[in-house]
Amino acid sequence: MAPTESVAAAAPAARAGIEALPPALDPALLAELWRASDATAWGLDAGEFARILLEVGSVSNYGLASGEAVTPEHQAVFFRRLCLADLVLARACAKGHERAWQHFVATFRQPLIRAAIAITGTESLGRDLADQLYAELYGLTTRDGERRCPLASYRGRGSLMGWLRTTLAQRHVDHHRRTRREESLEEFDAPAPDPSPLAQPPELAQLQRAVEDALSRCNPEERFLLAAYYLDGRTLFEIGRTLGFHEATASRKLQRTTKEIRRQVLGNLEKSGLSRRAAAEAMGADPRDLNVNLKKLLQKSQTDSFNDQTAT
Amino acid sequence: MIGASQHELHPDAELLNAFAERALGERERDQVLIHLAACRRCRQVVALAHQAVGPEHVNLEQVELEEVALPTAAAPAVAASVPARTALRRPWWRNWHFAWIPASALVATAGFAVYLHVARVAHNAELAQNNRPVVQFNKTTAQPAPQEQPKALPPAPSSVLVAQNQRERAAKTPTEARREPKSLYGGEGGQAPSEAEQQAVVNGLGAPPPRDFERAEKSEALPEPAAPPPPMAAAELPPPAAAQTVVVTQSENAPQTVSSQQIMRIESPSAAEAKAPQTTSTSVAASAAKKQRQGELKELAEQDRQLQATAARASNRQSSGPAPAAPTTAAVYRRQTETRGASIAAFAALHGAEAAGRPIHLPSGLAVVSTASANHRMLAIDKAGTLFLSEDSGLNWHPVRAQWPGRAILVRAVSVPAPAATPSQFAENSTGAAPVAAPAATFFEIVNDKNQVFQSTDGTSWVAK
Repeated sequence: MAPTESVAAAAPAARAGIEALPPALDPALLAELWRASDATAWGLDAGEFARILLEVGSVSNYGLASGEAVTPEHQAVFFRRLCLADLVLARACAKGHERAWQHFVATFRQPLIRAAIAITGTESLGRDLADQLYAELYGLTTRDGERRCPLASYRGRGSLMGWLRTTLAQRHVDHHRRTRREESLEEFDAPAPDPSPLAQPPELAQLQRAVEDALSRCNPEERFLLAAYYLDGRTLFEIGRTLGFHEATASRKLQRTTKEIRRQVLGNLEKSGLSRRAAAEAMGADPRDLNVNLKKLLQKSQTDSFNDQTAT
Repeated sequence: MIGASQHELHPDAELLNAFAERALGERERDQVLIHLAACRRCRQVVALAHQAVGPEHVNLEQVELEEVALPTAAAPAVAASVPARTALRRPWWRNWHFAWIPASALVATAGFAVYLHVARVAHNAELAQNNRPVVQFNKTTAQPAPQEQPKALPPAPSSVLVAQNQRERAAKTPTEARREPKSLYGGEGGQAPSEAEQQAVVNGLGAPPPRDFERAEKSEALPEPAAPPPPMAAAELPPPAAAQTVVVTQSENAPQTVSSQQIMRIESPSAAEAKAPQTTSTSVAASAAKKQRQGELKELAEQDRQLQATAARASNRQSSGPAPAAPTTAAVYRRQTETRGASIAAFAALHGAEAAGRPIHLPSGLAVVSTASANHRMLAIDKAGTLFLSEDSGLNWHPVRAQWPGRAILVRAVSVPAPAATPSQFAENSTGAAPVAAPAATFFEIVNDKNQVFQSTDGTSWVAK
């Protein structure tokens, strides 16, 4: 059945479902979303479609902070931003709809393999990664006797293909991190602890505190720029692509951030009692003499879990 | 770190993907960004996910990112009017950005160039339309275009000369025609129109010599100090009075020589004099007209003298050695000779089938300056001023002894009707019938360089007038 025909045929059912909706969802909005989603092609009725929407919205509180009141306008904006076609397809696949699976395989099977190969860098590892994820998506894994499909966690905030790529990347990174820790002890040559750590000169201690204070004042984007560029060694193009602006913009932002950090470090040193000239000389200290761990400084805010952060 | 705890510590794939695709609101995006700044694992996930994006998906996803990243305040209005994910593709011209600036400048330049071209073409077309070869006489009908006239049916003598000149000009290539005004007095600027002018005056045809026309062109092109007197503008020309006014419009090579196109009004000798051989009586001779005619002849003689002096200098320079101006002056002379030959051919076409198309070759070998014919007698003056007579319509020529001071520059045939019968003769007529008009007498006249006129009936014996 063609999608248009299916929509037309399912119109009475949709009207029936809309009448049974919870009062939180505007029927006109639901009808609009229903038409845009083409959910009837995958055997979803309007009631089920509405329940999926409400579930997706309630998980993230429609993009608002937890506890914040949701207005119909926010609700409409949130729903209209969703990838409804991908959402209903994923939910239909999670339910085991045969035609939805055929469509999913025809549409996403090859891109999934290509993405896995691109992530792993080799074809064999890529195919293994893709097959593993594909088996999970098909619902071969069960928990407590219930078939579990990762597609059920897809909420349509981004594209389904993007979600699949991110899932592949997550699994690849986690696998890499796990296998790296499984290094044999014979090959691991741990450095001996420093028997007698020297006392740090007061100038360097002041400089360390000034740097920590300056870094703590950076906003999230600046911190991400510093971490991605200096810690991960990402290129400006990759950083700009991730944040959604041009690499030249990334370069300017990075330059501005480092300049501002230097200015704040100088200011902190002057506040600590050093003259301007002494502060400038302290800035010329060898970084290896400083006991500043940028990784720790940048991860300082990562003390709580992400869910705890989002809840606040 | 087990999976469950890791899911609690890190944002899930949904949020990371939505962050990468710019599908999150400001608050959620800041939270994910804070986490990414501190979490290397999630930065790697996002970077790898971006790395896996195929080239065929980059543009679409970038568009999607920009579309969904609407400000929260403006989102409802936009979202209400545009269904989500329905208009993701932007128009092609949206990607031009700053390329619009040079593109606009290029389009403007091209438009201006096209405008100039169209304006010039329109101007040329207008000139070409206005410059159609039309010879208008004030009391006669306009002559057809020279190109359309069959050679076997030559038009009126004056228009024949004009048409001959036009054909000569039309035979030139556009390049030559374009170069011609520049080569005046220093190159190929033809002096030939002087021949046509002389022919017209000698034969009393009032033919419009294109000489002034060409001078008008050339005076614009070259400010030669030794150039002949500047052409008179139409407004400066004396009023036509009773003279035959000929308006000559040259249109040959119109597209190439538009700038040199001129509309000339040439005042010829009076219509009465022009028609004298056929229609005048002895009382024609209004003294004023005669003086005017003499003044014109004097001016023409002066101009011709200058031309001949220029040609003589060119010959001398060529014989003595290369000189800077010699080639151009020689070219003037050559041009003059060629044009005269063409004019003479046209003249011969008027005066006999035998001479038609046959140039005059004088025994002196010099170019012909002036010719006249009557009753199968032809007189010709070469550029040295020597008079030659031919009694067989130009087949054989023999020189005529100079019986006048100076140098002859013009020769013409004048036809004067015989005087009417006197009363005594009428009385002697016993029959009492009306007197019969005597046949017109034709004689030749020569004008020398001192503006003296000599007459002859046979071309050999000359007496001062």
